[in-house]
Amino acid sequence: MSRRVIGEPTWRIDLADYVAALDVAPHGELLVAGSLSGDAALIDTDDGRVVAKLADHRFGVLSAAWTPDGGAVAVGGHDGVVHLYGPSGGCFASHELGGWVADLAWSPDGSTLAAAVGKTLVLIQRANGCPHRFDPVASTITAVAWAVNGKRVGVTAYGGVTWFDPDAVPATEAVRTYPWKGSLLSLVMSPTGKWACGGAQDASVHLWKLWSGDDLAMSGYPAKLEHLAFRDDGRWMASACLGEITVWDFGGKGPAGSRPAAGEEHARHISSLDWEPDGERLLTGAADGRMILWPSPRKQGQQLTPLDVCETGGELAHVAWLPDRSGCVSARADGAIEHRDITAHRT
Amino acid sequence: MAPADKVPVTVLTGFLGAGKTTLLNHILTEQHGMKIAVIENEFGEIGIDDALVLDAEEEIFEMNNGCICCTVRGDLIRILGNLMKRRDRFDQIVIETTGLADPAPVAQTFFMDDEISSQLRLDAIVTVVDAKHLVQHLDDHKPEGVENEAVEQLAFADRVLLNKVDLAADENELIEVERRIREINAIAPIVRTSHGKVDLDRILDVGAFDLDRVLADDPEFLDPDAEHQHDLSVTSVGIDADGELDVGKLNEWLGWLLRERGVDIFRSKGILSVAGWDDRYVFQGVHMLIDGRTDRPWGPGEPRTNKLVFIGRNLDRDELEQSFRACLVA
Repeated sequence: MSRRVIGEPTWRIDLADYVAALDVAPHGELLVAGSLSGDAALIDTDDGRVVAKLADHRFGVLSAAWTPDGGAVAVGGHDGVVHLYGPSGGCFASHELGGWVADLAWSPDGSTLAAAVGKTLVLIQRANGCPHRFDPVASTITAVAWAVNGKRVGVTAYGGVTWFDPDAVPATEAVRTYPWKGSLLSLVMSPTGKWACGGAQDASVHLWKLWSGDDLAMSGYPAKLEHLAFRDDGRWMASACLGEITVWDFGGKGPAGSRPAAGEEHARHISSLDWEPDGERLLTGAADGRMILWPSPRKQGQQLTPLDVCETGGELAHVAWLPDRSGCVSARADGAIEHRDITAHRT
Repeated sequence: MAPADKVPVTVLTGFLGAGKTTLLNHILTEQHGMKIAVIENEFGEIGIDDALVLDAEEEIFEMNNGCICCTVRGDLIRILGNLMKRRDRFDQIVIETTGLADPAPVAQTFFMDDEISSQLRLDAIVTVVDAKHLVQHLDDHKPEGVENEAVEQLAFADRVLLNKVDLAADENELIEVERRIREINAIAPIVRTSHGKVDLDRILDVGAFDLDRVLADDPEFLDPDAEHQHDLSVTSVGIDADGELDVGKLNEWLGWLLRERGVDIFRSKGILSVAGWDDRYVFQGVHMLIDGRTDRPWGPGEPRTNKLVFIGRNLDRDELEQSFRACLVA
């Protein structure tokens, strides 16, 4: 008899529209979520209670991020505004930045927020909120990520990855560019600090070795790539394209010349990927309403079989593990946010 | 998603001062009961409670496939992507381009991005022109290598809105302006208006990228005898040929055409009869990008003919026709 790994919903709360941003606090007690209708809230992950209703963003929330210590959270929107809140939802700083806030990322030490605002990277100090604007890059920034040592901030756009030095403020120039003639849509850093990876509009994943800048592309995907995620130990990187996951082996010298593991159980495009914190299982959510739990690949080229498939009943926008690995939250296109327990899986 | 379920998108183009903003105001204030989203390059004077007006950045980029025609609008991919995620679906989306913008990257975005093309359909490119000043813009002498945007915007049009007709001296002036439009674009229906007041059925959800409806609107557009031949760099060429096509030769010809002439062909449309196929093959193209499919079976007794039209720069009518006819099964 098969055993369910993902449980039934234990609580549910509804935002007004498509949940465009969701981030679980590192301590796991709270999550922040915002919708394309513009409403945002801090939610208790225990029972789904709204701890604080946050400020509305005209035309929608686009991004949200907790500091690594869970002591502050930033929310940005289409209105060009970023609000910073404490853990009880008190707003301690607001910045009008003048362009879409497409992505937000805190520095590893939690002192500095990087915001992608139109073509400009803006840094905001948590302690004293005077925004610093770097020189605009050639095209609109799609994603922002910090190097694991906090010494560089990278932004992706059409034309490549541009790197800025946060310690060089008040200088405004970029310190390095890894050019790529194409439009990059996402950016992740390997936890090992060795790689930067971008998903591209032209159906490829592009990799740069840090910091030699040696690069390679993995093509052959059927469509654009918006979602990439590294396992916490940096060994495997999952990419989602339409309904399929492809998982690359970053052990040893990296994935050049290797065959990825793959899994195809979603009927529509995957909207979210999240690896189990310090663990080995991968959670995916897709527009087909399915949340799927996958095992880590054991070897290159492996065809992956789901550990469990959960029908959530609505198009999914986000899935995220809780840090203690006891469960997950999912957020839907209709605004529903739900919690489910995930039990340990024994093979 | 079936084509009928996709949200229609109208691209509104035209020179500064032609009346695009007035037309947009008319579209938004008319009691049509539709929920419309407008995407424009800058926040303008429009502020209507029920409508969503979003600003775009006119960010054009090339796709990394070596094809110089495959430029798309990155800002539209992002805005339209977010728009389609909203729970409240819009009945209609209107994208306004600036007076100097090239409509090709806007149109090509609907061919090149799967997320967009799976939920939205490009309905029509509507070009607004000013009856009083169009001829002057068409006759503007541009330096070598610089495009005349007024000519290109007409070449791309599925509908031409001839605005400010009340300012024309007389009917003869309007007839002359229409003749000049026809020289460039022989197939787009011309709709006369004043102050942008047009019956919205004429410009919204008209299905101009639906070949059947194009032909139903103006079945004569492909008649070569009806064409005006002038010494113009941007013209329309129609081909009407009975018979059936050899699929191998057709593929080779289309490949050659798009490779060698794609830069110069702004728009192409066609209905083809392929030997051995029960269904008609229909296509629509913007530069090198072609969207083709079989649509319906040929009717009993329906003559199996081929109808094509090209609008472009420096088109060699004889070369196009002869090379196409060489694809017919002997």
